[in-house]
Amino acid sequence: MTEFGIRGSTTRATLWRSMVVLELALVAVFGMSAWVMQGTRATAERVGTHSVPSIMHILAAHAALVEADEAAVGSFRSGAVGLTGPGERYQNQIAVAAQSLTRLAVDSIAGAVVGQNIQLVQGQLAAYSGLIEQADAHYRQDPASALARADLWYASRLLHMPDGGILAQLDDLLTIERQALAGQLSTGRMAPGWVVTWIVPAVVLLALLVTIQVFLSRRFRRTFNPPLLAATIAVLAATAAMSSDFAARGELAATQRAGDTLVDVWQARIDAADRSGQTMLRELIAGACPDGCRETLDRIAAGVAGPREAPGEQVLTARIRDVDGHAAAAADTTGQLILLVLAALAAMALIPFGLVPRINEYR
Amino acid sequence: MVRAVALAAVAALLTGSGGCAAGGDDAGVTVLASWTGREATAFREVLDRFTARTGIRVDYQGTRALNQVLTTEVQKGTPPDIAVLPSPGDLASFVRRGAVRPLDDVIGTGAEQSHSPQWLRLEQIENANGRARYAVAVTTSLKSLIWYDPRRVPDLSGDTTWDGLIRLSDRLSSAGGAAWCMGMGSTPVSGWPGTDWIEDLVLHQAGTAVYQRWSAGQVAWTAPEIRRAWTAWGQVALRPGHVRGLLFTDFGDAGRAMHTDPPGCFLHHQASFVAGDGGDLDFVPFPSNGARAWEVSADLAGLFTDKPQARELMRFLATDEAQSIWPTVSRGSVFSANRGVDPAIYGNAVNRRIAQILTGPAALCFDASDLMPSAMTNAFYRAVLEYLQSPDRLDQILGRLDQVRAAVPATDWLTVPCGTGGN
Repeated sequence: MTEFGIRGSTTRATLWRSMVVLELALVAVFGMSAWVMQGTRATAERVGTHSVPSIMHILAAHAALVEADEAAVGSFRSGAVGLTGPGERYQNQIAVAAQSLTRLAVDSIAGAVVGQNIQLVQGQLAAYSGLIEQADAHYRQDPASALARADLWYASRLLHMPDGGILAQLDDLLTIERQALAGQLSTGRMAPGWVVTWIVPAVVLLALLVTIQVFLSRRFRRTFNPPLLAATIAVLAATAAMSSDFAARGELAATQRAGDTLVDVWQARIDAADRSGQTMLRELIAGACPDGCRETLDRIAAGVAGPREAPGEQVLTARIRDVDGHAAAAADTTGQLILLVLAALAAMALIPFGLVPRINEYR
Repeated sequence: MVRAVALAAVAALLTGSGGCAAGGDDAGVTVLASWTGREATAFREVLDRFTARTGIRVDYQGTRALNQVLTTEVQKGTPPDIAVLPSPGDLASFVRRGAVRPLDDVIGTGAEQSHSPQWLRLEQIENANGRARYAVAVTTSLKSLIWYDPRRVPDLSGDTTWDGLIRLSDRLSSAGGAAWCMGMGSTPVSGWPGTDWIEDLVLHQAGTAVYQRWSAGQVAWTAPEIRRAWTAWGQVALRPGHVRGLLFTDFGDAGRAMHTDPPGCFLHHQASFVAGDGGDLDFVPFPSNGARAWEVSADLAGLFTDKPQARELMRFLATDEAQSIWPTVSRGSVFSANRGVDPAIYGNAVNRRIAQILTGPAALCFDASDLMPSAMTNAFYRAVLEYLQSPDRLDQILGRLDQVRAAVPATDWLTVPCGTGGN
């Protein structure tokens, strides 16, 4: 270590210090870059395989239940219930809702509260199905049964109650998942401030490389130090590679925006189906209680606020593809860690090759 | 040396990635109950006060499908720390499974003294060692009430007989509106407002002895005194023009027509929570053939785990401080069984009368359908709806109820005697 001390010449010591500083700066720049890149990559993976699917499972369950309710009411209204019960469409949509909840339980990473809420929804779903079965049984005994229609209303109310109803619980779940997605895209390593943690050291590192290059050219009368020049190019290449991190972050933000649009489209479809189902239910109840249940009819009418026309299947499919496309693009465009590591290793190896021969000249 | 420095730096870079572990939080308490919406908000105020006092976080979950959710969680071995059940019958079913812990070593004597002996009895359930306290009544309701607006029905008094009430119904119904406001809707347990009618008729026409034996499964549904209660209710509920609402009206909407001008209905048989609906309503007790007795109900908190923080919350729920919070914010729709709660928080004289009955020396009988095993209770709810649909099938309906009664194991029935609330 004697050559490392002040007993060597000033130039020799300067070269030693420069090499150590450069190596440490490289560790800092590439360490931070790798850490930020890994954060973006992990986020893109979570968004693509957990958050986006979870939101879609909730929307699918919501839509399926509204369609199941509409199908059941339609079956009672048409009289088909006497032969087929609440109908095949009802059964299918209930199955879709149950499957969506199961898949949500698997995919969600928004915390234990999601599992608890899924349990609440599943518990209420069993009660809902039980009431539809009761309505079916009463209808089969007597197609004019007021109790059949009452049970149908009790079931639909369990679905639609603003406080604690099944759809309200699903809305709560949707809010939790959307908040979790927003949190993933704005906190931790995805916080905008983290970009500074690798850009600033990278700029400082490049400035150091240029300064040392200038110092060497003046002291040793050489135009360029090739290994240092190569190290500078490696650092520039790694910095350029990190630009893909910006692109990935942009795709993730686009995923969130496309997700918001998808929620709106899906909600419009749900509202349209709900409007149809609740209008039919109101007619059924009004026929069974011509007077004396105004509050109930008013309450149902107040809930019939959705659009008459739902966005078509193509619109929904296009929006789903949009979300999936951005999520996939985010995962694909995150930088390649191996390239970053190779660039770092190359730069770290090149710097001693550039400086050690000059240091040895003072031995 | 140079190479060593370079290699060390590279190694540091290669091993630079780290992770962070999310620690679990076992210090909080999970609470499951049936309250949602405004009720959940009010209950959260109680829980927030506990958190402010102790620093212990409470996660509350409210669901209308309480029984299904709780059953699932108990079966999975992941019950909430505390569940608030709407009936002793439901609580007893979990006690029998060994899922609920007794509170004898949890609640101090100070809190017990604030409860009357009758309420303490109502919170006890039999186990292998006799009877033990398993619950804290978080809210209580007084039943056996007939609500009315004294300006619109000035001639209704507390000593009205059943026949007098029927005559009043006839008179009120012939004057335009319907005499009675009724709503059976309360998904997913629609029908319970009708069971309250049947219970009051059994209690006040057949007497407390029959009522106690009936609620304990010892009297057949086809027995004359029980059948008489159904037909007496039919005198009111099934008479054309006498009732506004019924199958297609939610119980919470039923009383609204009392406040319209002209009123859509005049009399409302409902529990004490109606006091929180506003207006200048008063109540008379349900007409009785014998000594005055009142039906009561309660939401009972049970301890499902042995977590110290959960035991702390149970102790807090039993205190006068905790019991005062909800009645204060609910403006009269919730009452406490604690005698240490200041009556002034109930706001007006009508509400204070209710609180006085709940905590005073009056004879209190737990709501029979709340005491019955859940299979019987659910059948009772459905039977009420069936009766309103097909009153001519009453004998068949009662026969089916008796089949359910016979199928329930004798050990599943609770015996909770009526008694006085005072010392």
